[in-house]
Amino acid sequence: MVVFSVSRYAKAVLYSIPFVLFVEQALANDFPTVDRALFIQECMALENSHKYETLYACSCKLDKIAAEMSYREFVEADSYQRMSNMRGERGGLFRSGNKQARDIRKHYSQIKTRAEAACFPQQTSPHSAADSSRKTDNIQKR
Amino acid sequence: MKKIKYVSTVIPVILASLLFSWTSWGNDELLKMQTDPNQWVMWGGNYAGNRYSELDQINVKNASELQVAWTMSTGVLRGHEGGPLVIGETMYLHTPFPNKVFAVNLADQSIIWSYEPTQDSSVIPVMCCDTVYRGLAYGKGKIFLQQADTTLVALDAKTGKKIWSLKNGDPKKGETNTNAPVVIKNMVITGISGGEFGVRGYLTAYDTETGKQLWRGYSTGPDDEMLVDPEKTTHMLKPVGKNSSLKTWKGDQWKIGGGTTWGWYTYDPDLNLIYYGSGNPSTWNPSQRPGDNRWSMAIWARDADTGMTKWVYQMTPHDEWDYDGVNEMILVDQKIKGKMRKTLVHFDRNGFAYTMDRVTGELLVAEKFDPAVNWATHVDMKTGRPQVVAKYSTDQNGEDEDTQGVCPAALGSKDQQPAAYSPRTGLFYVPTNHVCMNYEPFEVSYAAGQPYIGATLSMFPAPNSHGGLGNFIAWDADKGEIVWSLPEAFSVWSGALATAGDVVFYGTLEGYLKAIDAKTGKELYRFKTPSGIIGNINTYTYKGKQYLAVLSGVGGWAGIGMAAGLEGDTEGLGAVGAYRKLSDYTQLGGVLTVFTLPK
Repeated sequence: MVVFSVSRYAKAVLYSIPFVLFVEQALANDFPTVDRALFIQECMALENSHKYETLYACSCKLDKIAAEMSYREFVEADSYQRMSNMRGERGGLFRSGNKQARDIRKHYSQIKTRAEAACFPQQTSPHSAADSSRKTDNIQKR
Repeated sequence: MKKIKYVSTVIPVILASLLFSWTSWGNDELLKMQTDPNQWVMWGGNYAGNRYSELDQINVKNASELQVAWTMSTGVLRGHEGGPLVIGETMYLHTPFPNKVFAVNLADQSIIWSYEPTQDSSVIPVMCCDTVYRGLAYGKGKIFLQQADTTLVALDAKTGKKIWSLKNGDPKKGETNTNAPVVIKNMVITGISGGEFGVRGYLTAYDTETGKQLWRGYSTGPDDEMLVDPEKTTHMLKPVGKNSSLKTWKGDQWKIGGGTTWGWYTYDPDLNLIYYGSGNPSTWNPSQRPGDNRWSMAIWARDADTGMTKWVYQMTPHDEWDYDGVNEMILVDQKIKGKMRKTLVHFDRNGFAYTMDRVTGELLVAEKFDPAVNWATHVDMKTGRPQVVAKYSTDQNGEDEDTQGVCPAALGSKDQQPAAYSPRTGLFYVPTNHVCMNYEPFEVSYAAGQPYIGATLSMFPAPNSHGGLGNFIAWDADKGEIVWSLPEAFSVWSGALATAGDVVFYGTLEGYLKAIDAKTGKELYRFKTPSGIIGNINTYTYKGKQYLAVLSGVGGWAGIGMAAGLEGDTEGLGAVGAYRKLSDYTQLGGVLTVFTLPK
């Protein structure tokens, strides 16, 4: 009964939810051009390849990430991950009992793992196997 | 009689000429150069470490229009601290280990000369806190490079040719260097790192022409080795008395007592005093070293010519939290409680900002510059001692007990990154940490060249606050109050710059260079450089146009470093030995970004 007595206004709100989600999705893909370029540049460097398939895969990876995170969230998560790679005491701040840092890094890693699974069909390509940096990148996903 | 007459006339002439040659020898070149805003001749911009520039082309009105003028990759990974020097039309740029030096022609950014020392990479594992290097010193036509392996090198500023080099310490004992030296008169002044390895800290003066050691003052030990006069050297305005250090250590623990000197050095030419701070006592386990552990954790004022200590002030007696006292001493003449004073302002790791009379060492103000600070309620102004809260005392809680929720964390409320002072606003601009920790000390034994830490730490953002790890604050050193505070997602580990354009600049770990209205704290501009910024922002002119220069590069490149096995919860606080082959990724290294206004 209660369900059926929902006002017209509330119905309008309910119907608009998918639209709101769509808008958020569109907003989320808000990375500046320079950050897209830098991401792809670094992604290709880590893959140690200047081939087109790497450019495509790295672009795909970024698109997948940008669809799931706002630019602001990405900058924070990416910074957290880089900081945790810092040596010594300072990096310790990001590696140690900082739960916030761990949660953000974990969330980001999951998004990246999904993006990589979707975008790198040649996971066992020779350069990937030889390039241990790819493997270390995977170690980060815990 | 004749003889005597001869002596009485000739000796004064000889003395006079000696004096004359000494004064011209210990020249005024740098005294003049430090006042020229067109150059950036030393780490702090001037001897007082103000990090303030009279340049005002870039100002509150137009800072939002800044553009990148040029960039230069250093080709070196790892954290890039410090900032470039600009002497005339040449920029001198340094890198972290292997400590390369570039002389860059500002006309076309071509490299005039470069210098890359050969260093034993075994020095890397004995550097506690990344292989950073905070910069070069210029003086007497030379560039002074203080290498990680403690080699101090004098290079011809014009050609890059090595003139002399010497060993300032022994890496086998854990002694390394990360600091920027300074040139004062005919001396180059440098310190030592390695508090995590039980190194006994010292400050040394070497002759700029020959590299000959002129004096060395230790932070701990017998009076004569510290260059402390029991009658004349004061603490809280009173003579320190005999064996002021020895009395505060158990047995000969002072020999491995820490008190290293890896921060910044400032200088007052009128008083002829050098100011700097000494670091934490070793080990981090306070139960193992009863006593005040003097003079670790102290502010020092030393006579530049003799190294003798005029006064010393210990901020954190018997450290229990690793609050190194090495942060910069900013020298400012300002009104304190209505009276003009020659002051020294110091933002310590322990979370207190100290305003001292730099002539006498009198403590004028000591207040918390982060409201989160909880390890002490206040500083007793009579004794100068912080009033420690028992609950946060890692010593009272004892070995193998986890002391929880101590603020600040071991990194301090502020690390080495230098603050700036603007005489136009009378405010200090301070990059800070907003981080707390749990701290568990454990028993360790000393072995030369091995880490001597003895504590397990975990760190987290200050609770019940904005959730971020840092703040950028404006500080009133008279009232001891925060004027405005900008919350930051990450700790701010970049050195600040204030200018006559009433703009303050700093960098963030996300890589943003930010321009802030010095009066209101309003953000005017931000630009994301290729990597996180832990370098200092410097400014200069070329052909009459103002530029800003900053190094970015924190060393945390994606996919690198994890191989070092650092992912454990508390690993990586001490020495990190593993060093991956990184040559494939040099395009990801540190970058100098230079900003200017469009035409």
